[in-house]
Amino acid sequence: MMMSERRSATRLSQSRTMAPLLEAVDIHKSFGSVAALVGVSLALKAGSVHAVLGENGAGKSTLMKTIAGVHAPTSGTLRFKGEAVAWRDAEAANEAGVSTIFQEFILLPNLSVAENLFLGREPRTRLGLVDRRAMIAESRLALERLGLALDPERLAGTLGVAEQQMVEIAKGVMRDADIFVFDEPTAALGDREAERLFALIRELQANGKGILYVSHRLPEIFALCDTVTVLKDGRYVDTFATEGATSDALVAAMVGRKLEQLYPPRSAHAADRQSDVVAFEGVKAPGLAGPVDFTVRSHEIVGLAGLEGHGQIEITRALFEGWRLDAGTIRFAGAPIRHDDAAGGIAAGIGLVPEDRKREGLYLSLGVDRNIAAGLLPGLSGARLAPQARAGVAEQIRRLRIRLRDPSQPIGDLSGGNQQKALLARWLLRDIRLLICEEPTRGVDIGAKAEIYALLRELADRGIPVLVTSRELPELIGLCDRLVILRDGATVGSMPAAEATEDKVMRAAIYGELG
Amino acid sequence: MSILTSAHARQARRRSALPAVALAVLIAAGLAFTTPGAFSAQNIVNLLNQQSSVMAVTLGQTLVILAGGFDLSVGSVVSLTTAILSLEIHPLGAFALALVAAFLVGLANAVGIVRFRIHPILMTISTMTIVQGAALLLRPIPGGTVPAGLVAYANGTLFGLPLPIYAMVVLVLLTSLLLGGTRFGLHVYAVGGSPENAALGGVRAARVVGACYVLSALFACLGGINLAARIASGDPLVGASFAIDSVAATALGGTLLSGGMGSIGGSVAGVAVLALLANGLNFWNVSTHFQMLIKGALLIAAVSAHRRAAPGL
Repeated sequence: MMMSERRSATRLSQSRTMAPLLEAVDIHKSFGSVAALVGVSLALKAGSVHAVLGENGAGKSTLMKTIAGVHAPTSGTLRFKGEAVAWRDAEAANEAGVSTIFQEFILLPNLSVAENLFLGREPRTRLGLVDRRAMIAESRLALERLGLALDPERLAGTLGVAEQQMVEIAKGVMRDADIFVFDEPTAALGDREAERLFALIRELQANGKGILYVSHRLPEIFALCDTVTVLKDGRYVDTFATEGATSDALVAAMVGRKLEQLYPPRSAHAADRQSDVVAFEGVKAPGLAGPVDFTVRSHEIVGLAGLEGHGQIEITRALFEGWRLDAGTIRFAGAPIRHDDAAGGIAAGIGLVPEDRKREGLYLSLGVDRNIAAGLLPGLSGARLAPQARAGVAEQIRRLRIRLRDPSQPIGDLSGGNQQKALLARWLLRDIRLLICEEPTRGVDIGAKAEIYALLRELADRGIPVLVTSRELPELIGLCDRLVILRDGATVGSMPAAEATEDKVMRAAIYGELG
Repeated sequence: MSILTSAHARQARRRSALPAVALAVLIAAGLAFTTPGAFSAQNIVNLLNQQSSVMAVTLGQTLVILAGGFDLSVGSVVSLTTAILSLEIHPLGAFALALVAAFLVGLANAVGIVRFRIHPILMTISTMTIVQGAALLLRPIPGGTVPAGLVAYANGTLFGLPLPIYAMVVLVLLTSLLLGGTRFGLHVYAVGGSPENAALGGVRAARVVGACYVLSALFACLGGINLAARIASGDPLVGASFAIDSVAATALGGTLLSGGMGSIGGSVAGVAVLALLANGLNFWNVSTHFQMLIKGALLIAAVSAHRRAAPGL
């Protein structure tokens, strides 16, 4: 009896309010053993601009890709116009009426705007040839309807980023899509271009389309969106109406989480025992709008914090590879750096654990031993035999508890945690004076995480400072002594990690000022 | 790069065949000044006639390169075709066998490259070797006779011009229409621009690429039939230089070796450059060995000249 009552109640409420265009119910998505989405739900109404907000790695992009048909959910239901759907691929979702404007564009640079708009569905003349005249005329019409003064015969490759984005939108409009998904669309746009995009989005909204808008720029969300769904760690946190919500409430929803006891305690070192090992002084470089000013002292773990892609990798690489700077100086161990490539950086005493371990760090098919001993190669004359350093390698393997069958086992067979430890061993084998660790624990299981944190702390205690980047803010706060906050390729300032909260750091990274 | 600022995509995508045309004119002018006999009607007709086979092969090569690939097996297919046509079997059987053999080579290339993701150079260099072996097995030394009809075709004229010239012109026009006018042609460009993005846009990329390899083998077969007609015999090594010649002509014609940009017109100009160059160097008594040096250097020059001219750069 209860059941039937409840059911009729739901039916009633559904008939009163307009059914959502798109409904994601309890979506789970795992990649191997990694859960990217854990029970996320979201309802998008027609005529709504719905923001999806969350930190890096919160699952926003995975959710968007699931809705766009790129990923199939592991479990959960996707309902489109009231009907459950399971899209085979992105094209099927597209066909059904979900148009996605991804961060990377999929226009073909060597085709014209019109050809891109009609790709795969070119109109044909009676003779079976492509009807270019119709294609160009219809494209012009569609572009004009969107208020775009673009020549449909121009090569897409000659368009700017903003214009390409507009063409992607036009593609959706021409297919009469019902839903438009924007994945951080303003990341590559200037202010004026962003304004144009917003105007276009409002127009889509006025035409009753549903829009999903992924961004972590709060001002944009307040200006554009009527609803915000917040995700954290792949989980659904809450849905707000933008009207009446404060940015404080949104930021709190994005970050509120307690730190786990993964991290080794910080060591107290008297300030007078510490010297500057690295100093960035007013640095500007490609990708670093600058100025970048910060120091890394001995006995210290320093984290580069900020939203993804705000200059972290440029800073670590400028230091390690000795980039040519547009302005400023990088000092290492007191003197301006003189090396101009990675080998020089290593010779100067810098070790780098790169963020993309498999692509940049390891020789996957070679043995663990050779991967570790590779750290000894830079600076050797090419005629020398490669050192085996068997004893040293064996010691590192034992010390770091790298689990393997035998030292010559290909490193590609090892787990992520053991691979990462081997990369660290490479630098421990060499006398380094600074370790740069990009994403120290990406794809590393929790046990190895704790071991790696302990190892980094031990290094710092020995006076070898560590410079860390991470997409995971709690990791930076838990591991580091001090955080340097970045925004748009410049340093905002630094704060002791002991006093940092996710909330504080995110605010600094978003608003560009400390507390 | 200036061509990329041009408003008209089709023109830009076809890329300027201008350098090739200019080069052809330059060599022709050089020939005209230094060698009195060079511009006799007879020499020009001979030149066109000689190039008809290379032209056919280059058309197929251009399709493959535009789609982002390479076909190094074309020369062996030419040789095999002449070898098959010189077999002592019924003429129709010989033609059918040659076409089927070429189709299978093209299909093998397509399947290896599209389905098993073997690198185009590796795949076609393998089929090149296999097919070369087959040609040598069929006809270890040059010789034999080809069907009488073929010889009649090679010697026949219409309005004073040899029939192979007409065949070449028709083939060029048909391929231009295929590439410039049909959906398939547009998709060849799309796939050459980016196979992943083309597929996301609804193009059946695998089929388009595969079709290019099959077409290339069939064009090579037509080139081989034409060549067998002209030499009136079979020769297992006669196609040896066709792979390099067709790639060189395509590159000289302004087609981007990474695919997506280029045109048939450019390849025609490219073939003309190679032909005039060989002709001129012969007139100037440059040895064929030295000509190979020049051809190779020219290919390097052509490729490095448009290495950077990719769209959007």
